[in-house]
Amino acid sequence: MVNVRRLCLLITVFAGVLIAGCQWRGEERFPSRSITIICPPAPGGVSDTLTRALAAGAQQEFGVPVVVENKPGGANAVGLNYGAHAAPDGYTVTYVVAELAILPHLGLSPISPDDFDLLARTNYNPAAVTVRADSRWRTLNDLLADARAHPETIRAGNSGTGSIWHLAAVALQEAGGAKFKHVPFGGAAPAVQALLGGHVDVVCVSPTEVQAHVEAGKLRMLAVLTNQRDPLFPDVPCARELGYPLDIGAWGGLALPKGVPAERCQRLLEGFRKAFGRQEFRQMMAERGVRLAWLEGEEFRRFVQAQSALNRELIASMGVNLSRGDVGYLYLPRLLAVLGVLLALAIAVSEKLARRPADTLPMPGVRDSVRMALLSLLFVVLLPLVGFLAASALFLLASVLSTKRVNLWQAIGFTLVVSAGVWWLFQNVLGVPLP
Amino acid sequence: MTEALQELLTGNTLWLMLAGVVAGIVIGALPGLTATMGVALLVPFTFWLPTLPALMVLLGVYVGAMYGGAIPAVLIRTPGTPAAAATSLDGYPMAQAGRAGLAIGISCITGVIGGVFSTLVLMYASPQVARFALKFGPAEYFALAVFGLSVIASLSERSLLKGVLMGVCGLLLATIGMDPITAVPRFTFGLTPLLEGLALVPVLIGVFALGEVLYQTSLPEPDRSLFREIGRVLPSRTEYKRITLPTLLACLTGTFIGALPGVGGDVASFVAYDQAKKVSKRPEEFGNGSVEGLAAAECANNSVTGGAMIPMLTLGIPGDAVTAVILGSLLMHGVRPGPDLFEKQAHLLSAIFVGLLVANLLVLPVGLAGAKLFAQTVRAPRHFLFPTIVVLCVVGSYAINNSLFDVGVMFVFGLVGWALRRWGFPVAPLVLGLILGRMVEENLRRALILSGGSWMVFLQRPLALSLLVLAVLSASLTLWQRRRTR
Repeated sequence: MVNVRRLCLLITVFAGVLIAGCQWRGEERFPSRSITIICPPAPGGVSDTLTRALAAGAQQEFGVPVVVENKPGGANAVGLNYGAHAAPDGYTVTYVVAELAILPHLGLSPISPDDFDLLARTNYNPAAVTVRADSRWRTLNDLLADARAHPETIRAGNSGTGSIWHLAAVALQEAGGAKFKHVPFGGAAPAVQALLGGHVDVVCVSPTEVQAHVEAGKLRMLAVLTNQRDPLFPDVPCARELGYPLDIGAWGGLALPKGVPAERCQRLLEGFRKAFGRQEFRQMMAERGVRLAWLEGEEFRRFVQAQSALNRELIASMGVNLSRGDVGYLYLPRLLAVLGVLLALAIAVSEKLARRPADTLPMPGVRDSVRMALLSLLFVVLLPLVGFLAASALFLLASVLSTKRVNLWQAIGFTLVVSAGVWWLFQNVLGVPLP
Repeated sequence: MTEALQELLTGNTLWLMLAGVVAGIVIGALPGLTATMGVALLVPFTFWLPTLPALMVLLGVYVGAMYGGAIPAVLIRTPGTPAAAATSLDGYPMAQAGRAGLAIGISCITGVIGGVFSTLVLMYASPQVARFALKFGPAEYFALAVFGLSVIASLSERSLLKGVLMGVCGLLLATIGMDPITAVPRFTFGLTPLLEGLALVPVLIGVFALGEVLYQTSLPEPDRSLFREIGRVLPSRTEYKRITLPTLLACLTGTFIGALPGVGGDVASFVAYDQAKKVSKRPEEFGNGSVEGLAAAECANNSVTGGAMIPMLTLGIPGDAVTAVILGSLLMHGVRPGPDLFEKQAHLLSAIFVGLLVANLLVLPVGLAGAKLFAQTVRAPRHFLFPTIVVLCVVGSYAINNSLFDVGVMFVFGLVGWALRRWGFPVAPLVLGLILGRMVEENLRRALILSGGSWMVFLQRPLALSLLVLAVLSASLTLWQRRRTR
């Protein structure tokens, strides 16, 4: 028993030191602890790769760890929302994306460009109008002439209603006086897949998404919707030289929540500018076909405002040509709700008729379950307030002791091992930050 | 091919790969940390490695994590990854009956068979499979989702009505969030995190793991002598015989479903589970610890790995979220998947093939050697085990998206899972409905937009029609089987 007690004490001391070590923060100069870049898109895409590569360089410029945290969801609204409301201490930077200038006009998110201090734009990928190589359209004008002659027959795949690539297709049809049949997909890749499979006729997506297929002779790029040709695809004409003054594409950049002290903004801007100029970073981006386009401060702000104004117009004109044939967004929920109610009634009636006892399972110790549920609830509620370590320790201690099967020391030892162990595993080994 | 194998076996590459497999198993086994996340976490570490070893590590993690998900699914009814949800249906009852070792052993063996089979398909039939997969348009995806829903009939335990009701509830839950076609928010109550809909992993962890903990706490301490048994790991000859047919079917199903971009292991394992039940001589054992059900689910789940690589390597279109991350790291290393990979970079391609094969084979010794060790979990006294599971539930649901909201979702669905268990409603159809809901709705509506509103589109396209007919046949077969066994 003495040994167990000693061991527990030892672990207590050890864990206490560990916890204290984690919490200690010096605060003399900026940056003195790790910087987080919020990346709204999910891991794996262009945005994620770019932020991670940039973070690797920035880490050496700042001399502190720079970690990327993905916050996917809600057409990037979740991540943008989170970034805009982060503490304005300069330790949380957000990678803002094209949706920042789209979401407010769709009424989907209250976050707008005004909620951020925009640092710098990093990249800009123009929309590339792409068709199958065996299609009858050889130029952009062929396509638009056909779309004028047969409105709403040419099927244009996009990466989701209100996405930048949907807006690009709308901008193109407005400029050409034509009408497409717009078909939303769950992203650019599925749209390209549908194009390859012949389920749609044209897509406007970033050149990177179609590059490989164009080179393999499966797809044909008709034009990029910008003022000048893309240096990565010098043979593809741009919209302006074909007579359409269009400039639309996906972009990304760095931004801070409002209220970060000016000197910290400046320090961050300098550091990221240097990281951006690093050879490894530029090479990695070139290999992925990402067009880097640095734009700083006021210029970046004007660019975003122009994009926002453009998007507002496009979204207003989009409303009228929402897809024919769609059953609408309430069709399925209504159908399912009716079906659900009917089924529930059928179950109630059949159990009454059969007079067999409902097949409920016996639960003698419901009281224990309720206690466990309440303790878990307490844990979940305390988690954001006091952090993972304290909340989990409290929960473990309470739930183990309440079974009255262990003594205090065993409970404390167990709590410390599990709490600190899980914390260490996620925070330090796996690099998943816990609250 | 031999050249790639030599390169792999010399130097540190094999060790790196082994490390990747072990890391993958650990990540997969931790609830909330999926294969996607594991690969994404390790991508930065592979920046500094040359292309080939970097790829080998990532493939190791991918394959390891697909298997690792089965471990907690079997031991504590917590699917480590969504794809392991079907594994817990029979794996957990087996562990409770004192056959934890065998459950882990079978999931390891069949998983490796599935992985190797799908890699062979990837090696020898990629272009053909990819060309076929491209034929799947919105109408076909819708029909496939309906076929998936027909599985609900065999997931319903005692009452078919209750099973179908749960399926409908799952589909309804899937409509939460922005609708997939017009982006109108539905049932979000103004909450931004709900715009994208309910995240699958927190719901899974809630209904399966937390629900089970809450339910089990209310039971008197079970007869520990039985539960503490781990038993043998390797199957007996009769067990091998029983799992052969379901495993073969699951290999085919898993590989093909994996090859369809956007449909992954979660769907494949449920479909394979249903098939196994249909060909089984003892369908009544399903859900109570059937080795066939376990084998089918776990084999299909791992066959997805090779299948998902097919569209990624041939078309540059990722088959699921994990391959999307692998695709990203390939590009970073200057490898450009797509039509010309097969001609211009044949050397790298054969390295990927060999790598996948070896990674799968490495899972076998690691998994079998670790089986007894992992299974010790069931010996832990429950006053220590249950609180630990709750902590893992909370951390896992948080880690998937770094979101506290998801922790709340997990808790609510924990209560739901408990209540459903109490009143005899099956949980699996709810989960399947949630998995398939988006696929059903978005492809239905997309197909109707393409056809200009005509429902005939599902009958005019031969592939879609045959899938719908299959769905009807599959459901009727289950109904007939239920009647017969009653």
